[in-house]
Amino acid sequence: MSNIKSPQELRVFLEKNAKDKNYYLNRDVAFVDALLEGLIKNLNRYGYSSCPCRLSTGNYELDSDLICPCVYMESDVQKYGSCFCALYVSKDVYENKKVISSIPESRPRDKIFDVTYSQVNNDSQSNAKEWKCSVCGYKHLGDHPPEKCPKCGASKKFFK
Amino acid sequence: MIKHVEGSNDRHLVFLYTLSTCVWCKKTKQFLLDMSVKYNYIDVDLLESAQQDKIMSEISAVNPKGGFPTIVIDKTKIIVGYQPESIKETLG
Ligand code: SF4
Repeated sequence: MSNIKSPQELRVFLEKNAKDKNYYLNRDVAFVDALLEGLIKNLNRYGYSSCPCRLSTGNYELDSDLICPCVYMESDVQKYGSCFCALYVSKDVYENKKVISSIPESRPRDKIFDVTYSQVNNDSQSNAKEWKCSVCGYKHLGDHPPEKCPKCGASKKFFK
Repeated sequence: MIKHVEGSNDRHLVFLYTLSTCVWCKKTKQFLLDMSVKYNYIDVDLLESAQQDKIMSEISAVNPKGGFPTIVIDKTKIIVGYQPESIKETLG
């Protein structure tokens, strides 16, 4: 999965991922494609595919909860029937073609507002080291490798 | 950095904080366009990071839980997320 370029390619990847884990992608193809474009835009500008519906800082550590599927996805799907962006939906919503709408933000307030967007961007560029995922080739800049590869899901130990 | 969209329905002052990548934001913009509402918006992710700090504190003042789009109508009424019903009620 080292070179996901188009929404179509990303869709195939996510669909498989979702199936394996028993999640469902929103049936609205145009909606999903627009989100996938957002994910690819974030992958290109931040180096990881963070949530298209939230503002990333550009610092991996601070944004790690937002890498899609974000840590809020499962509980939001359970509670509201969809994730914050409505990329993923519950089995019930999917099978019964229920209409979905915007849900409230579950990410803690301090993670959104108590960070300095300007400083972190600069910090992340200083003394950063390059880590490479030996599975998919994903490159990560930072003091430490990520817990899990945002692109292919390989664990930390695969980063060299 | 503020973008303007013209519309014949200009009875209210409508301002949106949005992200260029967020699909609920896109749907909200489209809904306003379909209703011919005149509005202004900022795509926060496209700003320079120093400006993002300023804008995020503006958002936190009106929408403490966060979330895009944040819509401010006549500087007082706040709508968060894609809410066609409340938009129609307020601006229709
Ligand atoms: S809200 Fe949905 S699209 Fe956004 S990061 Fe979470 S799982 Fe992905």
